[in-house]
Amino acid sequence: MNVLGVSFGYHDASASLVVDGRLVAAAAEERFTRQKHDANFPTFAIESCLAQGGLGLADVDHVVFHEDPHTKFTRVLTSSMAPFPGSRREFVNTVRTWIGKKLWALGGISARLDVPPERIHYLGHHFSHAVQAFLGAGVEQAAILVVDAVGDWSSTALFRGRWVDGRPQVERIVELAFPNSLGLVYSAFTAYLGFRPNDSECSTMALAAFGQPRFVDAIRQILRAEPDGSYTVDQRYFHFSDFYKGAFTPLLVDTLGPARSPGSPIDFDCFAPGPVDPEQQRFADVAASLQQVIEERILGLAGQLHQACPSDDLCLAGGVALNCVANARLLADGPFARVHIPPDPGDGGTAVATALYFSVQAQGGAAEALRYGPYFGASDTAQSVLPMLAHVNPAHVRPYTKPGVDLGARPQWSHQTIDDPEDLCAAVAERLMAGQIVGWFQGRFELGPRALGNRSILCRPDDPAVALRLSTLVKERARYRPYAFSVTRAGAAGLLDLPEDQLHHHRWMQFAAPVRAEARDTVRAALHVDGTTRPQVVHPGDNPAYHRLLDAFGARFGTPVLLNTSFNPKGYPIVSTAVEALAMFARTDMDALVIEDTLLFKGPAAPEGP
Amino acid sequence: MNAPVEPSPSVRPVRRRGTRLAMLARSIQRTMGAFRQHKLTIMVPLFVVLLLTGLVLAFLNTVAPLAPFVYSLI
Repeated sequence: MNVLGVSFGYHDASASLVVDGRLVAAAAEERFTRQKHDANFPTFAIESCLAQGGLGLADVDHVVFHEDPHTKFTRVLTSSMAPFPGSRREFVNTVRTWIGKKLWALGGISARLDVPPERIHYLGHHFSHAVQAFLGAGVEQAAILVVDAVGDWSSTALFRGRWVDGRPQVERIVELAFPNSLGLVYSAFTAYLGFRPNDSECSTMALAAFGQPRFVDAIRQILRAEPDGSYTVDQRYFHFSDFYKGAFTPLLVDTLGPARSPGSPIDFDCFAPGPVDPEQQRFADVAASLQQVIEERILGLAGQLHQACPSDDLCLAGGVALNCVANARLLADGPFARVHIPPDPGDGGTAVATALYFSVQAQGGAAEALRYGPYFGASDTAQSVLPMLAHVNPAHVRPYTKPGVDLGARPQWSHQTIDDPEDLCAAVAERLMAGQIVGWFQGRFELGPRALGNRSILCRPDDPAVALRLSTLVKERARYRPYAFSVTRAGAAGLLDLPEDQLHHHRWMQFAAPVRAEARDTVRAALHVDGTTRPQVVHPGDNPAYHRLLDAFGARFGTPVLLNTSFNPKGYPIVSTAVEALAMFARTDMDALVIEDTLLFKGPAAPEGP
Repeated sequence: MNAPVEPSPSVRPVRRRGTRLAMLARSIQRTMGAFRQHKLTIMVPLFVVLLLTGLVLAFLNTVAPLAPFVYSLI
């Protein structure tokens, strides 16, 4: 049975293909359209998934959508009317969008994919998140926490999951309904801090490390704890129902001071911490206070869930599960021994979950067999770019290079194919040791927002000067945003100040972790100002090629660790094809690019050996 | 982890004529049900009005010569 999972309509449209209970392919639409968080129908992602499975549209037996559009419409319509007539514009826009298009999502799927209506199915949005977390964990039974912005009606939901007779049973315990939402509060504060909501929440989280939580009492009043562990949001501070007026009200400004203007400077620097002006410090303090209260509320929810479902395992999903600092706090201070987060806990990952759930409900399966990693995207080879190199040279891209990138010093591109993986890794490791910035493009691209060694930009982790060049001439990345590192399982214990039995949580960069004081100089360039990082602990079986490279670098550097950041230009999704990788390599100050077994580099080819 | 799998043969029936209309009716029915389920029956008349308005606008937009004439009157 071939089941297609699809999610679209709000942000991060995605598709997945499950064949006879096995996940075959999954991808986000943004990787193909190059529009970050693309919400449109995932035409290209579906094409890619089917191509990887060797199938055509006619072979798809069932399609499963990740939310109930009818229930969601009742919420959207009702909430857009709540502040009527002040919300006229929001109401008109909602009606136009929903009556004109979104309400008929299932019909649209049927028509576009030519699938009979009885073969189109849907799950509730938060139920999709719950099965996403539960199936991704591969455990027999667990408590499940979904913390999101908003789904159909609910914004936070507690579930219990277990396997009975080869089929997963996921049962809702309690849910909090819109407009009480941790995710929306976090997004509204992101807007208050001058970042783009629903996109730059990671900037809010990064800024928090520079602040002191001196506004924590005020934010606790806004995001009030309830005796049962849940929370309520004081709606006087926000415009959740009418984003045309902005995400927050003047009352929030009266309480915390003026909001930050988008684009105004932030002078915090991970590489050279120092004092900044008091107004900037206030924004960092607001971010720190928000972060602390969010963590407290998540811990409250975890306590409530543990009482209702006393398990050792917690499965976590929803957009808020991308907050690696809160996840680490939940793991350290929460009541659960293990916290499982799927590779893509946001809406993009629900396409995987819905298809898997439908398939396993129909055909049966086993918990352990369904656990999935992140490497299910499309692959590409250097063969798609090598012919281009005969016709394109640095002079052609000079008008498009980033300011500051000097192509004159290296007016030539060269490449060599190295068949032996050990030799390839040795050659790359030598370049990394020399302070070069290397694009690493291997195999299938990752699910979710993290680059986990298949679409990564790498450099040595101890040299802030290299990281600074990476920030300014490659990534255009603000200096208050830290980098992270990848380390092999064998090398992790020496770097991370964590118990040995906690290291397995860090496979997909979902938890922050403190770095041992004595190891901080080793990873100085991949460290946040508070001495933490968001590590990827690479097990040999997870990604053999990347593990091999880490080992090769470790043999020269002393520790198998590399600074690892996502392979994307500012404002764009992570690259998916070799051509996109080559374009970024050409336009920026990257020194080398590895596409499968081909090493491209700026400068003349090395002379032939004797 | 990503070993190739043999795709199972499809047994999918073809999509029949009139499916679009059936899906439309089913979506309206489910939306009515969702309003009832969430104790929002009071919103149903508004939903019906919005639907009818949408139908009229869709019809106007379909009949190309009619649309500019009608919109010029608004």
